Amino acid sequence: MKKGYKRIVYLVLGAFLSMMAVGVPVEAAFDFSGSWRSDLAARQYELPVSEWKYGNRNTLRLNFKDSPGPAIKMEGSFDLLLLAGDDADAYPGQEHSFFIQDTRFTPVLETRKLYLSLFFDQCTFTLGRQIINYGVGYVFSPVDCFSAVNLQDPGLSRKGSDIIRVRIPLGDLAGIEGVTTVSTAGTNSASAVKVFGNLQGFDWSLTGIYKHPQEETLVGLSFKGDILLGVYGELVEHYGTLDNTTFFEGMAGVDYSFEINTSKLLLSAEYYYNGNPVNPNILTPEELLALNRIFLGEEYLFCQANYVYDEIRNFALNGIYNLAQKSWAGTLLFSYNIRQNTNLIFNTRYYSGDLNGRNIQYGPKAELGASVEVRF
Amino acid sequence: MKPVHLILLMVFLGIVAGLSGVDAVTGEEILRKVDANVKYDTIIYTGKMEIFINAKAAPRTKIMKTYGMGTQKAFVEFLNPEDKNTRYLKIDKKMWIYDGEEENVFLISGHMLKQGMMGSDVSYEDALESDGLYQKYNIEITGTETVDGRPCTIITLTAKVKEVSYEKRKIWVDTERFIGLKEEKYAKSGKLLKESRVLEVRKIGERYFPVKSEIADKLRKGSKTVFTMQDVQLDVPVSEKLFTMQNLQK
Repeated sequence: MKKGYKRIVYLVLGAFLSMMAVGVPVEAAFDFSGSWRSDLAARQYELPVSEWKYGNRNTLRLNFKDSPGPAIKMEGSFDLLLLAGDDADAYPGQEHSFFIQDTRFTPVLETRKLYLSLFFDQCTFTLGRQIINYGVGYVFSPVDCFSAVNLQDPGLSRKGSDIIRVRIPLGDLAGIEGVTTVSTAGTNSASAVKVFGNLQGFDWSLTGIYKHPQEETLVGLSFKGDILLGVYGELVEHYGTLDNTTFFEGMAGVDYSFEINTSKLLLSAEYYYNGNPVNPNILTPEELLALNRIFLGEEYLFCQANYVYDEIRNFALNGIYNLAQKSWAGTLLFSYNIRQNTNLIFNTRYYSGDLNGRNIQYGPKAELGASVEVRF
Repeated sequence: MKPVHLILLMVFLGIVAGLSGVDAVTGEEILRKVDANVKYDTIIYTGKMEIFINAKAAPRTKIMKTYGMGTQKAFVEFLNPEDKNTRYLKIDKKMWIYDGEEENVFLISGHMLKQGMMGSDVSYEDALESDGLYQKYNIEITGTETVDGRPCTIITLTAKVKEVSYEKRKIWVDTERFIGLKEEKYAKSGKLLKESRVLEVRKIGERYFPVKSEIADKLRKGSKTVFTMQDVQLDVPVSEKLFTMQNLQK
């Protein structure tokens, strides 16, 4: 467990116990939920030699939530992972790995969320690890400096950040909020203020962000609404103090859906422009981490078609294209809801070249996967 | 004709106080009596939505806690494990979804409003429908018929403006209790799009209230949604703060 993270856990638990100690009545039962998921994958690698590798990822996700009083909420979400084969080999931390025959197994505990929220009439205060969605983009979100999308997950989920957050309502749909990352020892610390609201049927937000290690200020505008199609976008201007540079970063997205007989087809597309593409070869791993960005190239395009045959069967095809490097990654996914709480998911992915600009030479070329997920 | 939380009420046009005797002579007057019975300041209930996808598959069940204020505001929180922490906030004709798993709020795009809510036969558009029926439709009595053993007056609504989800609607109103027991919704082509029926009525206070209903999207073969309301409370105190972005993300 990282030192900075331990501190957050203790802070949250300490604050929670203090609340209990001062006499807030605590209901005995937490609200538990969770899921178990097993992903099997066969991946083809071409470098250094062409070969297929097999991996397995078992994820037991445990969520809890408790509101011992109307003004308090504590929420957590933990992933207990057991990685095997190629998944274990690719995982960065392997100190707990063990081998059965020649196959590596790695147990991992990941904390997705663990936070305490206090609700007052004038504001909401949150401390801990929380998933912060600052932008409106599904894949590309230049205004979201806290939670980058996880490209390894076909569901494109986001990871949590250790933060302190204060939100002040300015109306039913409007407010102002401030967020700062807690871990100053970390390399991706940032502070942000956002004003948001709904005007003329559009959700708007204006954001100011300061990235501490880079001494960089960002000013961003995001919007989401309808002009026949669903439209959304983010416009961000960067002002660097260290190197005295300014540059623009932005994304624009559209979505639309059709009914085809009794089925639905949902289409979406996003374009991303980065005015300051980064050459990862000149950066140290720490500097790359500090950027906290997945996409380092100049221009990207994301397209997705989601065909919902019915509530049981669902097909999705998506692709991300790096326009500058002519590289891309595509995913075809089929999910089948076999029972109320059980899904079977099949996916195939193909990678062409260095998609995210991180110069990863030895990533997989293709992947075939099958998953089962049970929610409880 | 109520908001999202009234998934079925909107579809069935609702409820009734124990008004008996039909003094109303026009379709509009009958509908206004039905409406008068549906009117409430606030509502709280636990809803159970059983979605029958086809004849073979077992139904998918959604459980939700719902709070409503007038016709304009609603807050829905799903309680079944698969959708836990998914919440809807409806204010006027806009709807936001909160995905608790990813802690993300998003405004539902206009084109999505025709899609079924959570895979059900009730579209977001149905759920967002509120007042204005009288301005949008010509209303007339087109016959009488018995539904589930109760005498009903058939009210036919024909669109007089373009901005409507359905070109024609037929409502079978139980004119003893003033409940819409059955409704059919048609496209401009005359094709039947949706059909709904009240399966159970209970007396709550002085009103008769439909607490179980069935909605079928006739374009989806074999599909229907059965909606049951439990622990219905009408005109009880509900905080305005429930219907805010702050509460949606709470």
